Amino acid sequence: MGKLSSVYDSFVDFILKHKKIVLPVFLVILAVVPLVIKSQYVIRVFCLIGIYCILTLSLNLIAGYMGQSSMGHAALYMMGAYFSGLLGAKLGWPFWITLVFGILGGALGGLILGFATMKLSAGYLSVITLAFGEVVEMVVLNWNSVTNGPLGVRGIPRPNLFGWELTPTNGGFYWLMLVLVIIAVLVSMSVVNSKFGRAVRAIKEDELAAKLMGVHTAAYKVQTIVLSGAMAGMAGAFYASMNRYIDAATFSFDISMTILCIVIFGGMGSIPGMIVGSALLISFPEVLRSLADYRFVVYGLLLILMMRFRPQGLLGGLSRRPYKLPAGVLRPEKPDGGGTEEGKKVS
Amino acid sequence: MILEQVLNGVMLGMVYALIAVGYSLVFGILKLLNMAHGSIYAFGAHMALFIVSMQFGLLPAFIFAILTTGVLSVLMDRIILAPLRAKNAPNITALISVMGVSYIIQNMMMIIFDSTKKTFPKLFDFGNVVFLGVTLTSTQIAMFLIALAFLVLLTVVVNYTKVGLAMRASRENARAANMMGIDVRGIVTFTFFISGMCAAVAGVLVSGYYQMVYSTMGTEAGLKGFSAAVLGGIGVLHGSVVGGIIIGVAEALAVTYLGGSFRSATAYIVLFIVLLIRPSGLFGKDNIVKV
Amino acid sequence: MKKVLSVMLAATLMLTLFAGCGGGKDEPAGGETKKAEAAESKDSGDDGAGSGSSEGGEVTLAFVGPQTGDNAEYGKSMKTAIQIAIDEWNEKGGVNGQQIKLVDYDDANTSEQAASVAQKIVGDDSISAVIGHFSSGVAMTASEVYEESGIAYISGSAAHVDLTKIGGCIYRNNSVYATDANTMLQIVQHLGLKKIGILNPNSDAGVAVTTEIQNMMETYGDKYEAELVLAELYEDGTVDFSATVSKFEEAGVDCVYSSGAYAQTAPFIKQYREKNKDVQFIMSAACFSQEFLELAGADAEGVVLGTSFFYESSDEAVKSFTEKFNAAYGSNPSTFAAQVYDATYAILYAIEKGGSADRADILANLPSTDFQGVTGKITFDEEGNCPKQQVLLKVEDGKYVEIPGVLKSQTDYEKELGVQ
Repeated sequence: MGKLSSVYDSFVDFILKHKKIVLPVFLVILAVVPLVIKSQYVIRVFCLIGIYCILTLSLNLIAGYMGQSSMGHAALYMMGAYFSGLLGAKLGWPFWITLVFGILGGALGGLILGFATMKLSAGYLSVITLAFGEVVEMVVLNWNSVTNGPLGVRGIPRPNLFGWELTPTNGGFYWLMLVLVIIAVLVSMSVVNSKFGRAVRAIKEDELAAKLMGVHTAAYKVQTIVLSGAMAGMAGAFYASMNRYIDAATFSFDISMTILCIVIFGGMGSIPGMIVGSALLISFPEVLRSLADYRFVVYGLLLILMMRFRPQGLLGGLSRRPYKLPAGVLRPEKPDGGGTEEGKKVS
Repeated sequence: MILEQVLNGVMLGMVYALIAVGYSLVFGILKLLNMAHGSIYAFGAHMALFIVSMQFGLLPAFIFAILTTGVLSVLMDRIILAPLRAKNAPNITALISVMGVSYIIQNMMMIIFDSTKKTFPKLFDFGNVVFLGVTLTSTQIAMFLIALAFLVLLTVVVNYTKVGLAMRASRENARAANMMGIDVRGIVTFTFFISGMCAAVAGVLVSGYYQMVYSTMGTEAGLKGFSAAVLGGIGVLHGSVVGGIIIGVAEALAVTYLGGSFRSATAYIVLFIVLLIRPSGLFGKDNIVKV
Repeated sequence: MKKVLSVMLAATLMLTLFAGCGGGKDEPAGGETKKAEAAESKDSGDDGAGSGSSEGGEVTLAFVGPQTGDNAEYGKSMKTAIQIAIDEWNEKGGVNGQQIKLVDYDDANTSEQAASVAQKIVGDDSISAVIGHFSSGVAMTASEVYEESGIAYISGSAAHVDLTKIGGCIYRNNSVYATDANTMLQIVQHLGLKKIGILNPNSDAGVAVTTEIQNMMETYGDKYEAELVLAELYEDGTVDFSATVSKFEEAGVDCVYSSGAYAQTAPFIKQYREKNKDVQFIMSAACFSQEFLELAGADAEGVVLGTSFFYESSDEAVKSFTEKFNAAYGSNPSTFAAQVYDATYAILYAIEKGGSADRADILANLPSTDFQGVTGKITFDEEGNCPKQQVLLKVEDGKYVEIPGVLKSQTDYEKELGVQ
């Protein structure tokens, strides 16, 4: 049995080793999907997967590299969607400009969150983000004159590329999604491999030490959350234009939880993990529609089994260096590391 | 008017406090945010409803709910969480696991009991009482008194009994406690049973208070209870009570002065502000590394 | 061993995913654009009668609604009602000699899933028309897809002001907010009440109804006697109304109107009754259901509401529908269930009239819909809304009782009042 597992690992390793060949091939396959698959439904599910790729890559910046978690990520997603959607629907601005504002909107949300949590470390970010999510929803629901309140925003324009209107049916949205996901991946990669990324990871490993080494921890934390917000905002702007109608109920707590689950399922800190995780968990309820009522029961079981048998996530921990989960995610840090030790003794 | 609204808020706060103590108990010992607590609370209410609907009366329903919910909570620990601890898995794995449990419990209830809202009998009815010029209904008063009695009992158990001492010892340092001859494993089981019991008591009381039961009742109540626990300092029992009351009063005042659509957000803004000033909650020990 | 398990899990998932995609590939390219649709319909028109349905001899309608999740009860009852309508047609030999088939989809009442399901439906050429979607926001999201693909969609429950403005494919068989607002004003006048309190959900419908009531009262001015004392909103999912009740009491209202769902209004009424036995509750059709009576219990006594459907009406069609619904579902039909039942009839009549189950033909024939349904006369105005005439019901001894002759149409009422 152990053999199969190592086969899986070596398979993934093989792909990673030959990524110079595998990646372009994979991209080409993805790019021709709308030409081959004519079912609009499948294309739409692909677009949804793309949106979640961006969202999870965005949360991955906070969770995977900074070691904090967010239970209100849908709020940043919503800010992007509303900034972009409102400018498009009310002022008639073209999508490409509202997209920029959607990104800025998400970044603004990140900035507020960042300043609010700058001085806090570890688990309480999750609580703050939870509260932040509710507050954003309240603003959207009650600021009727601007956000249209519970009536939502209707008639959001579709992107137009040199006279060619992108719609979900002509594959335009699919390709746009592909481009945006690639941007999100590139941003994530450059973050990991830059001085900025090293500083952020230093904060995750040991905040105090990082500070002593001269890393501006607070500034880096805020910057990371702003970047994460910008990416979520990009996903929001895309969603708004694809669906043409948005309301506050769309960006619920459930969405935040789904994003968090995918990040953990895919493996925190792993970029391919986010993509594979999104593909699996988003297509999962679609594929299992026939299970009807039992869909979410299976979803729950899946989470439990994952945690029991592969807690590092699908693609986490494949590199040979020992995997370390961010400390203090959703729990106060114990400097002596007592939490887990206790656990060992207890059982 | 303002006094009446504050009292309304206090009553509502007791509802949140009842749920919040469940979070606090488990967190106190395992440093785990038991996100399934909301679903377990709904489970308790449904168990009681099940017995009530079979015409066995309220008291047997209450006892049945407490036992089954306690057992469910213990089972969750034994089957899902204990193996994770045995592997010395990081805390986040346990958190995701309980989220999975929450999904399963809530959806199973939806399948078995369907998604409609069902009536639950009123627990008490002895007319209204005028207190300081404010009319309070009998359900409000009964709810307040029972919840208070229960929370006091719980505090006494944790702070003044041998079991409670063992619980606190395990919380401080599980390894040392184990060496001193405390059956830490048993204490964890006991804690989960108590926390399940709390959920059932809360479930039955709240269902009797609002006279209805439904499968998603744990979502909103769970989030508010969780906020109350964090606000008061998670892991501290009396903190949960104070946290619950603060959130309840904040909501009542928000409805009065801002309107009903600002209710939840106001509660979370209060939480936000408290955490910014006191990062570990009102009564929490300052174990957050501040940089 | 443990790793293996997880790998197998992942592999199974992958497989199912690809199976799903594979299935997708087999589907014929459908619902590309409105024009393409029209072209297609022309082609199939040449084949003669049987079009739209690729399997021949069968007409397929789609129902989408919450069948899992928080609002599953609505979805299930609406599906039952549609099935009854279809069975009735099939018993008389179907439509144009073709049997009718219902396919149902679950959107869990979320916009995200509704959009995917809508795409799935428009991509399935055999489906002729769509009924359903419970909440307004969800219906709005899905409607964009239906409008884009040119398939007729009728909602029996959504109340969003803009729903039918999305386009020519979107129809609604539900009271619009103005009808609800006007009904409430008529009831208040009929009961001789003076001080109105309003408690609506902070949702599209709630806000629209509140605004409409305020506008109407402003227009009527002195001609209308009662005054609006306090208009309140509540958040979706609220169960504790004690603070709101205190606020209404402070304002001294003698009646409270709410257009909210029974799941919220029932606890509100109960909590209010504990403090005040005399206040009059005026509800909307959302509270016309067996579940409301059960949940509100004895406190439901005396509640009045306006609805476009009443199951104890002497009308033969209503009687037969109620009987069948009771047999199939185990309780009396709600207004929403009755409205989708009529919506099904509207589509089937359109198919019969056009002699074709083509999407374009259905769209061409829907505007001229005119028949007597269980929720009154079914016709669609230019926007696609069905004007509703409501009846006044009162809860007496745990049952709804009709009080005839009180409610008039909005135009008649305004004429009587002397406003234009």
